[in-house]
Amino acid sequence: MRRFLEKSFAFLASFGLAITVLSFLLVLTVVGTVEQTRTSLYEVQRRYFESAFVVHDLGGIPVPLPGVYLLLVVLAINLVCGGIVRIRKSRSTAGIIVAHAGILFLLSGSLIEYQWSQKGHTTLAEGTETGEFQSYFEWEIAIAEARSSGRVEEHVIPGAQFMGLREGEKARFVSPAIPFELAVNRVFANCEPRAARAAGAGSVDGVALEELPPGKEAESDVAGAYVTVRPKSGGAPVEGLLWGLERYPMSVVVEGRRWTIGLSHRRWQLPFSIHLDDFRQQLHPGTGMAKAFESDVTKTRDGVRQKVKISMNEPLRESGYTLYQSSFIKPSQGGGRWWSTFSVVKNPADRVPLWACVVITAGLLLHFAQQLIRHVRAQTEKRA
Amino acid sequence: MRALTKPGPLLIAAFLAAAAAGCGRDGDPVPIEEKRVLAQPRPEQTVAADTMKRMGAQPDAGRGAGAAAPQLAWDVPEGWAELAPTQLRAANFSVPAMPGLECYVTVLPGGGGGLAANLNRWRKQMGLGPLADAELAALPRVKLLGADAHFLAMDGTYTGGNVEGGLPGYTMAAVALDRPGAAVFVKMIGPTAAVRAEIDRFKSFCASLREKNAEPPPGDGELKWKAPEGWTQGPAKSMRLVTFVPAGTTGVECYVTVLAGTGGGLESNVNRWRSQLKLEPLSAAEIAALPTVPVLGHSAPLVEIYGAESGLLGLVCELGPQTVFVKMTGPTPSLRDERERFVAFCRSLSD
Amino acid sequence: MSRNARAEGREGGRAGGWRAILLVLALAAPAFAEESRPAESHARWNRETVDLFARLPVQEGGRVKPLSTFASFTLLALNGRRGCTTPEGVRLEPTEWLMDCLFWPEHASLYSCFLVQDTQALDDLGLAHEGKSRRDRYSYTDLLPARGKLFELASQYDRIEAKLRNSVQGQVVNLAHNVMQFESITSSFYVLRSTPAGADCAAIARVFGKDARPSFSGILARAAELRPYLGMADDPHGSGASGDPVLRGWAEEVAGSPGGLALFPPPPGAAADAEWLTPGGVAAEALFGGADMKQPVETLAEFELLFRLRGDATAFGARAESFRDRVVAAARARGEYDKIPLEVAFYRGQFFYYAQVVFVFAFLIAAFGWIKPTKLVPRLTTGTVALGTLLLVAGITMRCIIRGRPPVSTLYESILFITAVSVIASMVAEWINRQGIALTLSTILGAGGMFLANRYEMQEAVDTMPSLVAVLDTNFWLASHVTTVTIGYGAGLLAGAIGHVTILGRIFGLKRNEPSFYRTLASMTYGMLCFGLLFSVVGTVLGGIWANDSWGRFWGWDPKENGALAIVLWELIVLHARKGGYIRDHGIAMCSVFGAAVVASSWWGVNLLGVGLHSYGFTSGILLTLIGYYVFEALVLVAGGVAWYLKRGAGDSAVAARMLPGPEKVG
Repeated sequence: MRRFLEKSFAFLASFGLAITVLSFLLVLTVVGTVEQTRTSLYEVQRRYFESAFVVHDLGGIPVPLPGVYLLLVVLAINLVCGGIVRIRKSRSTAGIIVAHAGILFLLSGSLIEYQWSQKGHTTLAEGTETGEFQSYFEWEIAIAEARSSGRVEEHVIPGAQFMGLREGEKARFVSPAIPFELAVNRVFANCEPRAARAAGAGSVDGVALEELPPGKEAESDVAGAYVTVRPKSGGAPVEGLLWGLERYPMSVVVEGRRWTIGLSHRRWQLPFSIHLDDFRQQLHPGTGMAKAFESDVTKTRDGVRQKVKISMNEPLRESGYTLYQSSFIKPSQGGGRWWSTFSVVKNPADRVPLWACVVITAGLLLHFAQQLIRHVRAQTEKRA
Repeated sequence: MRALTKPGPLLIAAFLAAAAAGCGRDGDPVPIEEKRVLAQPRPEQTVAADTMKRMGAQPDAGRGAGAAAPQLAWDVPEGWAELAPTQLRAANFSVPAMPGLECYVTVLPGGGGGLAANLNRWRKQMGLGPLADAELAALPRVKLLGADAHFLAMDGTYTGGNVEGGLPGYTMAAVALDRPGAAVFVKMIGPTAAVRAEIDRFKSFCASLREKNAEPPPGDGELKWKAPEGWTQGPAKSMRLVTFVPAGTTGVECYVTVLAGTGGGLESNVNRWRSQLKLEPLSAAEIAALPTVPVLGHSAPLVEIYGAESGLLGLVCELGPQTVFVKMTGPTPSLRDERERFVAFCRSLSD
Repeated sequence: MSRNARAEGREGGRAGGWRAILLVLALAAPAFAEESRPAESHARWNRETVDLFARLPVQEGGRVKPLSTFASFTLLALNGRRGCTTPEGVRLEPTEWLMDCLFWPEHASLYSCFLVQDTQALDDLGLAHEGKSRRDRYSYTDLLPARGKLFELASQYDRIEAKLRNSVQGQVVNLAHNVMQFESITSSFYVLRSTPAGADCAAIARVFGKDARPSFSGILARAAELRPYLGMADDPHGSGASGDPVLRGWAEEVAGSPGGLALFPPPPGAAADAEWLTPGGVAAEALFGGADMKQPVETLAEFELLFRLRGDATAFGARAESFRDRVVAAARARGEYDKIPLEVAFYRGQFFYYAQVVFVFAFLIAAFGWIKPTKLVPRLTTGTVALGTLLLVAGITMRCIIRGRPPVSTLYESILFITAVSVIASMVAEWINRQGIALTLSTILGAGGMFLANRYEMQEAVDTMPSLVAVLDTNFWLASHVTTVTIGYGAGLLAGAIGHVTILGRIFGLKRNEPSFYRTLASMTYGMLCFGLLFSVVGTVLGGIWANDSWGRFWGWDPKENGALAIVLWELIVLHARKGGYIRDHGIAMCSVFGAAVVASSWWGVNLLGVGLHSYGFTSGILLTLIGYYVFEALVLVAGGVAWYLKRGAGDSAVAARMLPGPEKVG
């Protein structure tokens, strides 16, 4: 047993493993890059970079490869075993160990980001305020009792619980606070509502969803779903369809109360709100080329208001969230007003790369400087 | 040291398990666990719409040749909340203090099927029978957009919402105006008590409704068009919205200018063009007799001058606060060839 | 034949195409037809006057630059070189050519300044080209009969994605663009030629007198008095009536006149990012705008005088000075003139051209040294390389000062910088190892890099100091991330270059009996890889941090990011393989050659994919060069592999043994 463990450790700490993993990473990086000319970046990331295994299509020949996620996990183990634990500890390896630690730090930061970060955007017109942001890719179904004003409680079904449904599968959702059960009968990752040719199967009120192939940009795909609302009290079920770009949510009256059921990109609440005071776009004079974009916003947190400017390369950081100037809508398209889009990221490891960079730089500098000095000395002695 | 060998397989196993984990399918119902609280409902949640409307579908009668559909402006009554307009609703309101109440303005180009048909459709939605012609004529009138419009208030069970069995105890107040080119309807629907409480504000809202002046300032680029086949957009020039060069021609260009005000007036512009080509000025009567082209909902006179060598096609569209000029200059033969496309281009201009 | 006679012959001989073009303008100005015929003969410009114009500031492409820079890149784009020959065989430099375009458009239309790469494009346009070679130059007048067809086809081809266009389609699009550019320049000052006179225009008669023939700027100077006659509805002082139709018509035509050159600084008090004005722009502002246009109108008046003096070289020169003084004073007041003289000096200096010459010369000296070694040769080579490097660094530094930016913010600048880095790094390597190899390499890298840079500049033919898109507008990140990553590229390429010496040396039996020679090469390669790794890793991570700060994600698997990562991964593989005993000297050489190909892919290759945030535009001419380079490297690697295989049994067992996995030594 001991021998086996020792052998396993030797394997995990070996240069051979390091070279193999790095080589696979290189191959994955290359195929994942070339693949982007055919497939959306989102899809490529999901299949190649965030997976344990991937089957790459090489001109019709399926080539199985390990995914980058798996490779990075193995690399981290290899790094710990070989580059930190087993490596000879001396003055000449100090730099290497530090650099390895830095890489490890960077990798753990990436893991934290991958597992626990939230990314999305919020788009608002000048003079409006929001305390929410939306995912670019994920979907949700929100159920709420309709009120014309006042506090509203929204019950949220995350997309992960229904977007994976295959044809013929159904998912049912219940909550003690809701007087009905919601069944999701069929989902589409990308679809469009069309006037149904014939009433009946596959259409609701003369509208049917038509499935579309996934787009080149995954964020422009619009999901859709057929749902059934079954009152718990045993009333007649109501069929409905939901679509990611619907103007209004589906609306049902159960036991005398009106409820709304809406499909939208996943929304998250911010612990503060921002009001867009002003958006500016500067152009290089005489050209249509943007020189700078910036937004003046008022941030309100716990009743404390603060004016902040957000511009390209200068994000707003607040309560673990970071807001970046990412895009805008011109008044001619935005109904006479400028709209500003901020990407919103909550990443606990936001600053890890910076510190990792410092550590890696220090380690490599130390190591290579030592080597260079030794080499120069040897050469000088040889000449002397 | 031994422990160090373990996290790897564990992590991988955890990852694989996570990847394989599906979602609540078929079997037992999945509890909805996530919840969030909004201080105010989202505007879209306050509207009960049918599936067609929810998907933003347009009725068949929509748009079409609706050149005369008016752009509207209004004052929002106190306590009303303006919602985003939709394809069918030019204006859209809720009254936060009156749950379930909605008010909106519909503009139907081409009349939307006639006044009587619409009024009777609404009566049916409220569970009431159709009105006889005489009853229709006897309806009270209110002022809307400077004209006399029919006013109708109906109590009953509202079946227009997406609700089974309808909503009893509801009232619909409607003002309907049939104008040449477009019908304008203003409606308020809600629980009877709520409608009663808001009826005065509804009437003052109707009174405040007015036509918006087409406002884009010169060179704003708000004007849209469809370039005829073979026309190439030329380089941008100041004061011009757009310049086109028709294919296969030399020295021909067509461009659009928008000037504030009358731009010097029809007569002076036409005669200026004529004088450039050394032609006698036209009298006011002759100008009035010029052929016209429907442009931006107006009848715009078309000037055609074919000189011995060169000529000019010009169109003046006076919109009130501003004037749109479309001009094409070049050798006469080319202008004759391009005339059809020029007219088509002018017709294609839209706001 | 005099110019005059030639021009007249042309006017009479053709079916009036040129006239038709001008017709648009003629409509507004009946008097123009007489003036359009070249009535005055055209002498060459004085040297001093050309110099003066070369230093005039003009706003184009989002920045204020010397007229000579604009002229030079425009002519490069049109003509494929920085010069143009008149039908009389006089060679014009770009500024002279531009001055002819501005002041003598009738003549400039006859200069063969449009380069057509392949007559096939002309066949497409239905243009005859008898007596011309396949790649030849044409004048505007030659192309004019096909102008309509040209624009028609170009608008069709323009809809095809750039990288999918075939070569004829690409040329047609290019040619149409060039013709438009030429028309825009030559029509800059047509507006000056047509002004309403008191006799035809009531408003002019009222303000200036019945028989007055005011000049263009004269009318603009009294725009305030003329405004009521413009019939502007929103003018509080306006009569409210329709105004004077003649004045109104003239004003409209002038204000809407073609683009042309933005030579006139905005009036004092205008915003810092206000646009410079063309003559039409000055008129539009003065007649319809609200700003006080006194100063621009006065400058325009100077220019108008200049225009009338175009036939008299001496008087023209003198007037040009006072025009220049006004423009420079206004530009200086806006802080937009300071760097103009430096930029003129930079282009006059032709630093990168001379650097290339010097590096080639250094290579010849070094080559001589390999044949006939003397003590003097290394010193002479070192001195020459140092001179070349000095020129290169001086040029880069001037660019930094002119742009107010760190050395690298465009692809072109990356060539300059990488060349500088690899030359300097090889000189340092030489200083450490003193074998003469790195020194020779530095001459090759210097000459090659400069050749590449100059070719690229010629091919792209656009200002190499462009305005930067918003995300790049940060000197901190340009200086840290871009510079570091670029140094990493340079080191990787240099390592590859040394690898070539090792492989080719072995194949051709260079220094067969000096194992120490190869050991030195190996240690240099290793050193360069370490140097490269340091900068690549740090640069790549810094890029991630930048991306995190501007887009909110550290790593997005964007092609350019992946390219940098590929370099890092490859260098890590090589260094770990060496440490683990998998490869030795020959293996490192082979790996570094492959590594150079990885660097080339990251530097140029990913741009060809045409996806991602860093896609700086399609670089079509690069593709073939890049493929050629890959083929060459593949051959080198195959040859190196064969060489290793053959020698494996023949005594060089140490190398062979080390290619197999051996006991792992750490540290």
